Amino acid sequence: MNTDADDRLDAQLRGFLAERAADTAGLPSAERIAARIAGGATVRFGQGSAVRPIWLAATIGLLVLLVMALVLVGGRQSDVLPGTSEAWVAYATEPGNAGGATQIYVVKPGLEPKRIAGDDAGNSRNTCPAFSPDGRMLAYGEGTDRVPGDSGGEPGTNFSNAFGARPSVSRGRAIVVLELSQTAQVIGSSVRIPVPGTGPVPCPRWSPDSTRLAYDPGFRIVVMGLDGTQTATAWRRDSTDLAWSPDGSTLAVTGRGGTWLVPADGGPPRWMSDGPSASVDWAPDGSRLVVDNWVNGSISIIDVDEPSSRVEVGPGRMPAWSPSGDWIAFLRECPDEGNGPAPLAAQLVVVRPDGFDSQVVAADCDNGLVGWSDDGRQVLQADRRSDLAWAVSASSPDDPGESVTLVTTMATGDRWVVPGQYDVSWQPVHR
Amino acid sequence: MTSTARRDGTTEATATLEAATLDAFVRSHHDRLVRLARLVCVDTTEAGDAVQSAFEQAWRRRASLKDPSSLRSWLDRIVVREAIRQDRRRRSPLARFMGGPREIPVSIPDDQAGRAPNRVEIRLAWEALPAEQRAAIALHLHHGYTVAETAAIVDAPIETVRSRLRSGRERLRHALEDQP
Repeated sequence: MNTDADDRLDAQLRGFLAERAADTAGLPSAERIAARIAGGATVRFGQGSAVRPIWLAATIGLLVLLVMALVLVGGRQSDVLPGTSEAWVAYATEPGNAGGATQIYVVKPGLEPKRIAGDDAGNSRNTCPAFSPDGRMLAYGEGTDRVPGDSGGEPGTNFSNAFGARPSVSRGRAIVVLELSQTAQVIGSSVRIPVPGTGPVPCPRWSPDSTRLAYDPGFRIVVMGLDGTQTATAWRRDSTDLAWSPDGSTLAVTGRGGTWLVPADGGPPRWMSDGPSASVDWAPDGSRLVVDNWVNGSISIIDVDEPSSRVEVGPGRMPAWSPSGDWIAFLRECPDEGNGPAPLAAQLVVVRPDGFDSQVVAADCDNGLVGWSDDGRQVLQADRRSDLAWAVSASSPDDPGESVTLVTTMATGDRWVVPGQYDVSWQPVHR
Repeated sequence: MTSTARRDGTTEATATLEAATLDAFVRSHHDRLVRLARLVCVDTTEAGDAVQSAFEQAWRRRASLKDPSSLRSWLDRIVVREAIRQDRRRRSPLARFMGGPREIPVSIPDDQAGRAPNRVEIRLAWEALPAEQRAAIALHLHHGYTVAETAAIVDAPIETVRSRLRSGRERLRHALEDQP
């Protein structure tokens, strides 16, 4: 029942609404609207126009031809898994003679790669492309002024994901955020947020709701909101990896000093495990973590409410929990048979979170793990095809041994995919 | 009436008739739709885009309207949807990141301090509401639709519309009470 206060508010509102509705200055007149519609009638197949059937037939014919062409091109490229052709893959590459400069491209199967960041002169390092979980934005780290004599980061530190190829120490650092259209055109202007000081090229990581980015500018973790706010978390050590909790409240941060939970709003960290770790990931329900240990080479699952209780699921590194929660994917080193540097000589393996039902998904000992598709049905890997050529492939745990090539650098001259977990990002398409 | 065949296959008579029909169609609904868009959108540019787009859609799809008596609510539905779409575009994450929604500078004259909420204060509170709440209140309070009719126009359950009306009023009340 309305009270007197409600009635007074409604009366106030009615007066305001009447006044606001009458203020139509600057709005298009009826004549202008009609003229615009009339001007576009021939291309919009306006009703009553005899031209409509002809244009309609021609348009349908063109669309049919276009679809047929796309099917033919797609079929020649690969047997694309359902859904994979909808998403863009963003990746960082290093041109053959760029001296460590890196560029970022986006590509879809069957399309030419499109450069998003970096230039032919190789003046900048652009790393860690990351699609936002809502699939609309792409963030990446940028460094424009490398420290002389530096040739790369130390393995296992600052999101170099144990491959040692990154990061460079750089002074002109920034995080760049841009919005991409469905055709990968940058919508509006990109946003460049300077990161002060000298250190690794920042590697932004999206919060689950796509409103914040966390990154390590050097021995701390900063959370940056898309509304411009910044929060310095209580983390004051080195880090090798961080992962947002599914509810966006907490960051799991791992490094030489073990694994900790760090509140994103700046609260005190909570210990989870000892031992230097290169990778950490959350179970989709936020109850457990999976971490690796780069000293003894094991992968463990930790209960966040009871961190002393842990389950070892086997030897390996770079674990990634599937979004469905059914699998954990990781890399398992192959015996040294001249396959190359140890981290690259790895098989891609999936295992159930209880440690059972382990399956080798890609056995060729040339794999770098990238991550899961957003529906949890496919796991992405960067696999080496030759010394300089890399491909990004998708495999399904339900169909081990079979993989579908999404992107190969063999067709793109001397560019090669930097084979790290954070150098390839698959756009979520919300199937 | 004589008619001359045109290059696009229509006749001059048909084209003239269609232009007159379009003109009458826009004129007869223009004022109401412009006012509705003005209420739902925060600024006039967005309102103008919403109205233009709504008329274009309505004109293109007018043959699909089976019940002529529902023309008014059908048009209102299209313009409300377009207005909310304009608002969402303005509030996209990247738009917020790049400086937030455009703020319209407002100065409150000193002689109004301490008095009952004035039009400027109500306006600021109104523009801070989510577009869905603005649409529900505008349709119900200003355009006189019942809650059920409003629900049909905004394509939401009746309870959702009641909730939007209640929340919108509460937020406006709090915003106005917080004024000095």
